[in-house]
Amino acid sequence: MDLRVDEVTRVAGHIGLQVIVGKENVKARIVHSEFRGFEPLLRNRLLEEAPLYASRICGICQVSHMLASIEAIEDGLDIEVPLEARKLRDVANLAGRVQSHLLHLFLLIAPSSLKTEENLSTIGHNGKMAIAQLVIEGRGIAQKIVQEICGRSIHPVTIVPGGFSKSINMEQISNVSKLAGKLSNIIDAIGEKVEPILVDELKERGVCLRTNYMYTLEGSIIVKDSEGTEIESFRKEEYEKHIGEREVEEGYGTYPYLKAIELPFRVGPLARLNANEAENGSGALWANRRHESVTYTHARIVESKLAACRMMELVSGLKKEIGASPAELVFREGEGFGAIEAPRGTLLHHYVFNKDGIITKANIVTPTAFNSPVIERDIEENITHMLGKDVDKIKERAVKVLRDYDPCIPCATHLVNVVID
Amino acid sequence: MEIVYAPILLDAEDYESADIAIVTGSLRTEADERRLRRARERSDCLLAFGSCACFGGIHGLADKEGIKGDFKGGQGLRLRDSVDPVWRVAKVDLAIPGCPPPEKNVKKFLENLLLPVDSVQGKTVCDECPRKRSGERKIEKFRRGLAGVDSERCFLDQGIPCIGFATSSGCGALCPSSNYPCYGCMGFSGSIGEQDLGIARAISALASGFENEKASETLADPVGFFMRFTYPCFSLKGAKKNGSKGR
Repeated sequence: MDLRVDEVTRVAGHIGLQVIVGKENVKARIVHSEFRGFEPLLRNRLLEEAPLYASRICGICQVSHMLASIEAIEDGLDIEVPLEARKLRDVANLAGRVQSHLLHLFLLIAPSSLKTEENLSTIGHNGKMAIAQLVIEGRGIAQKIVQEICGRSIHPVTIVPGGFSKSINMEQISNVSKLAGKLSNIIDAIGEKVEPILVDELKERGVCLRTNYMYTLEGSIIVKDSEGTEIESFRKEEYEKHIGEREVEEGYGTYPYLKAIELPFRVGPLARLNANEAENGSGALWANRRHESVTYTHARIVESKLAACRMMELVSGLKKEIGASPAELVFREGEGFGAIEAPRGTLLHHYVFNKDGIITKANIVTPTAFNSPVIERDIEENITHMLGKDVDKIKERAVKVLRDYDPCIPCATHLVNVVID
Repeated sequence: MEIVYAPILLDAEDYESADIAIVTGSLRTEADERRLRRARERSDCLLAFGSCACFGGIHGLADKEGIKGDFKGGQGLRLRDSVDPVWRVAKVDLAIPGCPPPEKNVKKFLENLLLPVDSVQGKTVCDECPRKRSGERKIEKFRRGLAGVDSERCFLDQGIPCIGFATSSGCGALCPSSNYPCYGCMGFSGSIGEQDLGIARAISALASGFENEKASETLADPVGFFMRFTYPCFSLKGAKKNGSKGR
């Protein structure tokens, strides 16, 4: 049996899916069906302008791209950033994470995974809008937080090498705090409504893929196994020694892999909660490690709650206006590395530049690229357990598993062999 | 309002017709072009939403740097020779530029289904900018970075590249108000199909503000500065292939 979906709906970007069921095994392949070429176009661009381009890689996770890009510049030019500015950048990143998770929850997966009568086409048509209303309000608040800090909610304006281009006063800071508090309450309400529905979905699947988990923290990239034991850790500057990228057979994706341990690994909310216990403060909210792909959605809700709480914590420590602090740019030949936890997982930006501060090479490894090999594996596992069921059910399960990972195709596309004219 | 087709939101695989087709993104792959032509055929009105649809967008610069890569897969995945804005291939009835389109413009459109009044009417970001401009601008040279910038004064007067003087208004001069120079996401003031004229005007306007002829050479990335979001409008490949069809 050969199943093909040319355009999977309700994912970010253009992606195709092919499943081949043979006598011996199941083969699943995702096809990244779009490409724009941000790595080639960053050549000959001004180093300090890289974030303007990087942010446009994606309209959903643009805050993270911009922050990773800025970090690569600051890393490459040894630029210091005041602590208060770094805290506010973290707040913006967390707000961007909540906004992205809520978008995925309601707009992308709800119609199939949530088994609720609510979906986009019912908004405004009847009274049953509880989850929709909460998500829309929650997203709006998260976007307002980004706007308050960065000047604009999509494609931030004021984040520059060195800090912010414009000062942020106590009124704005207090506003961010109030918004984060509201957000926390909304997420509680969303969790209450969505959790029971997810539990049912979990029961129906009956498949669990155990993998390793990867995340980044303070410039290091850490990999732990499914029990939480660390198996590898390296500095972001060393990523090329530890991470390889393989060509795919079809489409514009790549398969990044860990050179040391060629076993499946995942990034994103599940990885962060399963592996980063020391930092994420999840406590009772994520008491036991979970590995089924459906639990990614649980993880997104828990992360959103943790993010709202962490935002309030970060902001409570800010007692005075954060001044503008754009850095003096002293160019020299070199390279810089940025590593951040974007909504979907670990994101790396790496720029090489010449003595005039012009970029000569850029490499960007995205969370969805990291997850691509394991998404195929997970789909294969799921379908192996469904052989004999009818084609429509198999197709439905395949796309559901894909959507669990919240893939972002605009980010993930990459040409391995790029010939520059 | 009923959405009949929106792959990112709904599972509808196809649609027969629509009153209005809202198109985002520019034409990079053959599948993009196929989808656009279908949308134009089946809808009464086509709205180009965002700077990629209106001008080709920021990733148009990939054509300037040159990309030719291995691709494997169906025809639809093949990259076109050039990135093109929507108007190169299909007639555009309405346009909301911006990256992202300013919120108030989107709101006004949804409320009235009309173009916002204060966009592309020959006004520029300078008209909306709160910063103080010098009477007679004489730029000696450009510099890089924003360290030590005076937050009240015009960027160009301080030798910081800002393309607001040629960029279409409609955003409320958001970036200059946030102490960041305009970098042109709303496209050149004028119609969306005439961005190449906009570029020519911008270059001559900037050159006239310089203290000496050589000063313009201190722009370290002139293509990035002048054509960040609009490079495909100036792309000879696109014009050669499609002519001025759809303008």
